Amino acid sequence: MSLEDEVREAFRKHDDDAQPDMRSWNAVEKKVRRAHKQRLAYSSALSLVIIAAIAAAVTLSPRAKESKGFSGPTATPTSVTSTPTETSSASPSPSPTSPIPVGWTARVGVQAAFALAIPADWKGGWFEGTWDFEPKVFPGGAQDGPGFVITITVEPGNYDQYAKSPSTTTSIQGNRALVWHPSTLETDYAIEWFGCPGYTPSCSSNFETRTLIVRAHASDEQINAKYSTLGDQVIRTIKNYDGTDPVHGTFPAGTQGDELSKALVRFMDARIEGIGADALMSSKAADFYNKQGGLYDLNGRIAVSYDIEGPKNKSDTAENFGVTMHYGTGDTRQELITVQRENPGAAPVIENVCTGCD
Amino acid sequence: MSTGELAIRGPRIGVFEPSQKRLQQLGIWFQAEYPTLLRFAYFVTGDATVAEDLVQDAFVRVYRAGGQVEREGLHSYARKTIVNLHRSGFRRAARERAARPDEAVSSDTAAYALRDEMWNAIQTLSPRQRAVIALRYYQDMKERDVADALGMSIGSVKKHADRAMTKLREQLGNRRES
Repeated sequence: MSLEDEVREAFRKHDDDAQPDMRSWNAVEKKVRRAHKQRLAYSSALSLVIIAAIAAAVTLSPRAKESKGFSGPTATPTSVTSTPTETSSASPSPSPTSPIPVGWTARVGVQAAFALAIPADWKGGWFEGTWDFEPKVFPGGAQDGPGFVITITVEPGNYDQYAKSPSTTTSIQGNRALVWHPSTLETDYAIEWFGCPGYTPSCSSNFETRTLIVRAHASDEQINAKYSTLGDQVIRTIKNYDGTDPVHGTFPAGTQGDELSKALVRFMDARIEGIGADALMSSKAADFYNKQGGLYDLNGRIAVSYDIEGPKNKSDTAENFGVTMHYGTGDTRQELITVQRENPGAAPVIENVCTGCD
Repeated sequence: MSTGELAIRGPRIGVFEPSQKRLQQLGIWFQAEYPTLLRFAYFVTGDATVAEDLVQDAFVRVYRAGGQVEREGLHSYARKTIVNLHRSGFRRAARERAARPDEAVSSDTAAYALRDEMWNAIQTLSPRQRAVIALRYYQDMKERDVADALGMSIGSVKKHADRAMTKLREQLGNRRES
């Protein structure tokens, strides 16, 4: 038998491995609706930014300050202040940092700087800027089929502007939050969220505070009764993440915590999550992974954990780290990763990678 | 819901809802092409769960692409999207599989795969190489058609096919010699 025939035969033997489940349409429809809303929100935000930029340009332009011949009274600029809502002015009620149940799985949303824990029989993922976590028993698409899903997005602005009345104050892993019920089947949380976008050491001058919006939604009363308490428990594990503590791997005790180490941990956690690592590396590092088997997997073998050794060559702006990557098949690969900070205002990036070198 | 019909939610009012007409068109495409695209995604990824997620995400892209799909053809657009999403790391559920390596290996499919050396060798190819040889040999498509289906030049198709077959030959040769 020729090699071509063997290939043909191998595909034929496996053409029934993936069984189509037409209920998958529910998930597609849900994703389309979500992507559509997300797009509208981005477009609206972009329009506002453009309008604000044009207004600022006109105001700051020297020509704008010249008299146009009108000599009437000039408007006195007033500072814009936001009035906090009644609920947000209250101090958070002591609720707290509930311990994470044994056997739960740690997850991390690197792009939004959060970590949380979910029960072992739950699944989670990211699509179009939204994380969702749900019990594995549901096919996905809680909006249209039976299900319970927790979705997480990061939104601009103060957390107290999102809550609908009546809301209650609480604290989730030390962050102030508001909780309200848009319907009997949904509980929403607005969590005050700190940290600069992109993990930069200092935020840009036009940075707004951010809010983590978390929604727990059930498809019907019965499912809500079964999962709402567990959902709340999951949500109360949500905490800030910046790479100080590795989620999916290890870092030698006592050596992590500086900006270069944290950048590496974020990159490695994102690789294990299967999303978001691309944005944390240079084009040179991207080239390496393209040519050397993949960033999130190694020729199809999925990365499952990592061990970082301490920095090998240290300077103020760059460090080399030895990393052992573990794959689901039991294979490992050694990588020497250079993390570099290009300028003091930027977050460090993965600059270079090599294998088989010290 | 039976497998023979797809439920599209009724009309909703407001700008925050996607176009009902386009959603219905997408439902028709989904019903007709989902099994074929799922099989293709499985051949590219080697994982049924990841394949399922990729196909779902590809249909979302199809919806958003609008007229571009009609110009390129659904099959071509969706296949290209599946390969590109997989290459760029859009693997929604891969983490679930990664978290349960033992379970994955102990499944019937995986055990069967372990005994299947050609299938195992195919899994070591890059997503593009797998896509090319799946279309070329499983679907018996000509190089020009593979190029159209994946948005590549014929030269790229030849290059990927050639490298894939060389790698398979080397791998199988090594295993059979040892």
